[in-house]
Amino acid sequence: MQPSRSNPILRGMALWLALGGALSLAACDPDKGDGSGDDGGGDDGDDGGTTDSGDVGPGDLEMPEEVLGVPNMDDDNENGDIDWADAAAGDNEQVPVGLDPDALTILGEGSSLSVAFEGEVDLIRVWLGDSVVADEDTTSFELSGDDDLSTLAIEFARPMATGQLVFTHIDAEGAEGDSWTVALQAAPLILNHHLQPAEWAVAVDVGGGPYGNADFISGFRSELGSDFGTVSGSSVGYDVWIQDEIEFGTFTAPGYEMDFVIDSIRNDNGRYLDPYAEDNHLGPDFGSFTWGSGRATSQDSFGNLEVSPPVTVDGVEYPFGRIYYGDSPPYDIADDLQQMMAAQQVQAPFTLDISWLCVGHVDEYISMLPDPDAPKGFRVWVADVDEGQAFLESMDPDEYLPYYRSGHHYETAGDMLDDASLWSYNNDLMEEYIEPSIDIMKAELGLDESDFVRVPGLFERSRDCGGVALALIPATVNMQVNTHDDGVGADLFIPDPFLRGSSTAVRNDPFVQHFEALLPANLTAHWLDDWNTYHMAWGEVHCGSNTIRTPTADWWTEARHLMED
Amino acid sequence: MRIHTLFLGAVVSLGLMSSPALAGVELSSISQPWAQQALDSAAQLEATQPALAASIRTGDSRPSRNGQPLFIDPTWRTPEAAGAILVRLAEGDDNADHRIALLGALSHTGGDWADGVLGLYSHETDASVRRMMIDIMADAPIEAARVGVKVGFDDRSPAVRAAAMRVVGTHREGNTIGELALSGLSDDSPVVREEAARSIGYAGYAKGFEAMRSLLQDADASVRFRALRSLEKLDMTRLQQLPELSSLAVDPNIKVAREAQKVQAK
Repeated sequence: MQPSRSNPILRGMALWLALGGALSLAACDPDKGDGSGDDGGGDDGDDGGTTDSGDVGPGDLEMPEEVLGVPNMDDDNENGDIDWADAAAGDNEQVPVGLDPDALTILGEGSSLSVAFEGEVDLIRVWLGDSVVADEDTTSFELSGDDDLSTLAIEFARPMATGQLVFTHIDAEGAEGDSWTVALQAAPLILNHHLQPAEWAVAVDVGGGPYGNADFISGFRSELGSDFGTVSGSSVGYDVWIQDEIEFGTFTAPGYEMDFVIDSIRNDNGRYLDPYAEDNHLGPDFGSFTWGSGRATSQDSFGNLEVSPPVTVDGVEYPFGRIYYGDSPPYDIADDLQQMMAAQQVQAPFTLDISWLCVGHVDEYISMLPDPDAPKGFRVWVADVDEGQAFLESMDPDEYLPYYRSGHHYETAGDMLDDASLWSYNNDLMEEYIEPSIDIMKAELGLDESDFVRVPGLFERSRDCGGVALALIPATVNMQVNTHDDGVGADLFIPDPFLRGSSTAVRNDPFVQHFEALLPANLTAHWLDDWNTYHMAWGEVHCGSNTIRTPTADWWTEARHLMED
Repeated sequence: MRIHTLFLGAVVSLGLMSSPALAGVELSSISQPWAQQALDSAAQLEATQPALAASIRTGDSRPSRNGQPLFIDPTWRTPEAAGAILVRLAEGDDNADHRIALLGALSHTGGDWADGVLGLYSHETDASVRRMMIDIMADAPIEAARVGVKVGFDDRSPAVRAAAMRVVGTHREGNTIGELALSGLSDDSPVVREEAARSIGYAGYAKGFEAMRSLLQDADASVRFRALRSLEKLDMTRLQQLPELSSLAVDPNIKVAREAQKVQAK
């Protein structure tokens, strides 16, 4: 199983160290001692400042501007509940405020600090040592006397929770003096995109035999080694659709990273992977949560939830890319999840119409691949019917295609080309849905035609699905993108199209050759046999895999402009 | 209420939720040739390929990507498997979702299954299964498909009638049964009218042009849109001369209006 990202002890130390950098603690440092730093968080007033004699006063107290932290949604004590629910002291996701431990001394003999807790008080707790001193029920407290100010810490419940602590100096006579406001900000949940380095990939192993995926599994394993893990198929009811069950992301704060997995509400109707996230990932420094409830639609599966690489749209930079997902009113992603993603703003979501697809996921016809030669550093690979027709016309019309005979009722490329109704249908899909999707992506991602690679595609009207679309030629864009540490190179695990006779090697498959000719030099294709286990069950390689990725940017320095109201 | 899949959503809206399983049909009591052929085929398979026969008798489904059960064992995709699958289907021990999955598997065998499915059709109590029985006629020989379209169009369920219309537009020889879609153009259900219009276009059944014209004034915008699209396929020049086009260009439905404007501009 995937281990935690790093040693929790080191991570805790890193958190403290980073807080020192993120928060204005200079005045707390006796070696610095110049007292000149003004963090802008306080009201200087006229009664402080370093005296000529060298004494210190309220004006010398520097307070942090803000406290940045991650929501306490992991399970450090491994009791099966996220730690926020435990309300236990000493958790490493409780972020020190960074108050000067000598603040009361600096403020003067007999001083205290009155603290008002404001904002989303139901989503934040304030700790002093082992005690909660402020929460939704208690929104003010006082720091005085023997209180150890270094133990004042913040705990966040959810992404993007915000609040503030307003500290007011109360002097020995009980008069109010200066006040300082410290902002409290929980990290957004950043969902991963394909330009982020892949750390670890996972798939469900259903063994060999006719239902098996042994070649699929070995294809991943031979390339990725220990960076690839499997889930026993028998333990999850042979539910191979691990892309759909979970969505990996990260929470970060200065010096701190928490891997996170959104657990889909996809919990019934053969969706036996439901306990996977809790059983395999939720733990110390690995969070998990489900947004939404009730019976799932297919749109609640996370092959229907993807993220573009970083883009600039109409002058607005999205350093973490933009989320996109498909909807087909009234069926779409669970409201709670939609609202959470929209409220975060940093990956401002947009939607595509997927009502034409039987399964109804955006990964059925779109993927985004790193490309250093592309103007934006990536290109959108999209299934294109016209390209599909041109490709089939380039094939030997009479070559027997055994996989297509048994899987799709076509024996040759010529058979497909001769089916006028098939092309009428596909041309409608292209004109009514795929091209409009491309137009939406151009507008929402600031792209133009040069940012797209059109891949031969062909769809059939599914008998099982009442006439809506399933991939006929395997959806080769539905691939797993295993990006290298440089964020540019990548191994691509792509469904084998089997557009060849049974005696022809995959490297000689004309579709494979066509596809590889489209690839930039930074990408390496690995063709996996997903036909029986995935393709014939309405999915492909991406649907059957999932990937943990490394965060590559800091939201607190690069995405603040998106978080402002 | 949230439901499992997009398609199942449509199933719900059409009132097709699964009813109790088919009670079962005693094939040996049916005098039609397909029944005895299915029994003989299953017995033959038992004797010659017992592992495959056992797999078909007892094999369990796997969840498709949207949760629908499927029988995806590739060893079933052989003509010899058709009889045994028909026998299992007729026994009625599987629930409706699994009967649908069996029909899907049956259609991929390449065997002789069409008469058997049509023979079982009248015994099937679940509309969602009957819908699938008709949909797979798109992969049947054209004469069986013709029968399937006719019986399907007589079904009380609009989803089944829509499936019947769909066969015309999906079957590779659909043009030869295009006339069967004409009656669907005046069906009470807009879903059926839309599917009939689509199929006439996909089948390229040019004789349907005049009949489909009336749908340009249908009360349902989806029907108007699909009729417009299909008329484009049949005869764009003639469509551009229709007086209805100017009113469609200002249709209250933006999708219809845009399509009409596009036709005018071509």
